[in-house]
Amino acid sequence: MDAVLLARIQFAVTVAFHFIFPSITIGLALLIAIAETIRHRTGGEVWDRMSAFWTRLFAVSFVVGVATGIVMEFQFGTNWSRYAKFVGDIFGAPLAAEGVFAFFLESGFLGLLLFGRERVGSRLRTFAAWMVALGSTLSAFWIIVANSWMQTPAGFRIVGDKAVLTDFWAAVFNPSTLPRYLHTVSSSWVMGAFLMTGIAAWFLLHHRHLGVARASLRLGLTVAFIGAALMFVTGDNSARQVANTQQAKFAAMQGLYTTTSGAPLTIWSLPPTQNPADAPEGPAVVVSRMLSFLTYGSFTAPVTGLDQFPQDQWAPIMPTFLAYHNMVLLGTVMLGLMLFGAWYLYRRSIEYHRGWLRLAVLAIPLPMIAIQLGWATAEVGRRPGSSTA
Amino acid sequence: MLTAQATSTAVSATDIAISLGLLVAVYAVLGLLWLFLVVREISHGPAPAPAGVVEEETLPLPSAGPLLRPAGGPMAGSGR
Repeated sequence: MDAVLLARIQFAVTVAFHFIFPSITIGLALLIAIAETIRHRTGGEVWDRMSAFWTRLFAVSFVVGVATGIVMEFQFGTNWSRYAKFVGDIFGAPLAAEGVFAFFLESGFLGLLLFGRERVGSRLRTFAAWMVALGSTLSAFWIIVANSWMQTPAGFRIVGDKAVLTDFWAAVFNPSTLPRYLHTVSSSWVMGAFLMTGIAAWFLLHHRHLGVARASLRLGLTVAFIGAALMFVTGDNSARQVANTQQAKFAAMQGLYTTTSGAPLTIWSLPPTQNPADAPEGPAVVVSRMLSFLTYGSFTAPVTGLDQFPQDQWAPIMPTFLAYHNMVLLGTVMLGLMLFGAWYLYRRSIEYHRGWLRLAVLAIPLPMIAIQLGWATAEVGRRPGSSTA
Repeated sequence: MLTAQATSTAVSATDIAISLGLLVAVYAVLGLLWLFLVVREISHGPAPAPAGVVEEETLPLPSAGPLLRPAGGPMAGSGR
């Protein structure tokens, strides 16, 4: 294997492993902050124990997340030094901002929440929990800024062999930053909420810690349901942004070789091949004209296909298509599961549905798999450029 | 900029392969450590209720809704 492929694999391994932990901590931080708020307002003893328990799980994930995240930044220097030189002026700001504004905020207040929870007042403790949530969410923002600039670069000009920042805010709020950030954060909320719901369901199935389990199930399930619905709204927004600014990637995601007016939405099909001549003929589930409607709000709008781009600029179609479609499939399964859960919770019968509780335990990894598939869609679909500049 | 033009010229494929192997090994250890700590925390569970506070375990279950109330709940007869 050549160095480029190995460097790609190494970065992919690093990101995929690291990404497990921030998505858990972003989600859990919100849930802990909500639990602390309820504890502060009601004085509920169970919310106090619940918050302490989830803060310990948060801390374990936070530590591993930090350890794995540092490696990524070093890799820019070791494996990708020409890229680091090319974009150093632009990447430096968001990566530094992530450390100064977000990581220190998160880690400082996490220390207070972990070691000072009995030493500070109730109001300050609640404030600390919200600062941890804010810090973890802001941390994601600056990382997404850097990655979104690689997707849809803005606010720069090329001087010699370097990209030089000309407009900081244009670079920060490049076209894909907000859609991708909102989708990532809502997905992370779902991750944290599925973890909380699944573990609470396990406690209930084993008749353990019922007080904390019930409170965790109520909170986790509510946030998982709302988060899963939000995930679809933000995902739809993000996909439309890709259709408008990264048309070749969008065509690869949809497996659309030819520009089509009234393009159908493929729900399921055999995966497309890199060479259109080898495209499999087989059964497929499609909704006629729906892709045009979802993308542009018109059943007859043309959707740009891969035929508008030179073949050497196509992303690897099969992995992009498979990653995207399986992500959507998992999102649908998660929303369906939480829809039933929310109904059972509303009917106050959830503890009788042991099948659902078992499914909730088994479903803990689903958001993580979906998040990894979403990241693969974004990154594999971006090839062959390391930025589109 | 193309990805193929973005790598370090001074780092060989062998260097990357070795560091990749080491990273996978370190991450495997970190992953197992994380899993061990999480499972341990879950096994220990949350702190018990302080003395004088009635544990919810001793309280009755939330009542089931009229449509989905089963004849005998899964925990019926458990005294909880």
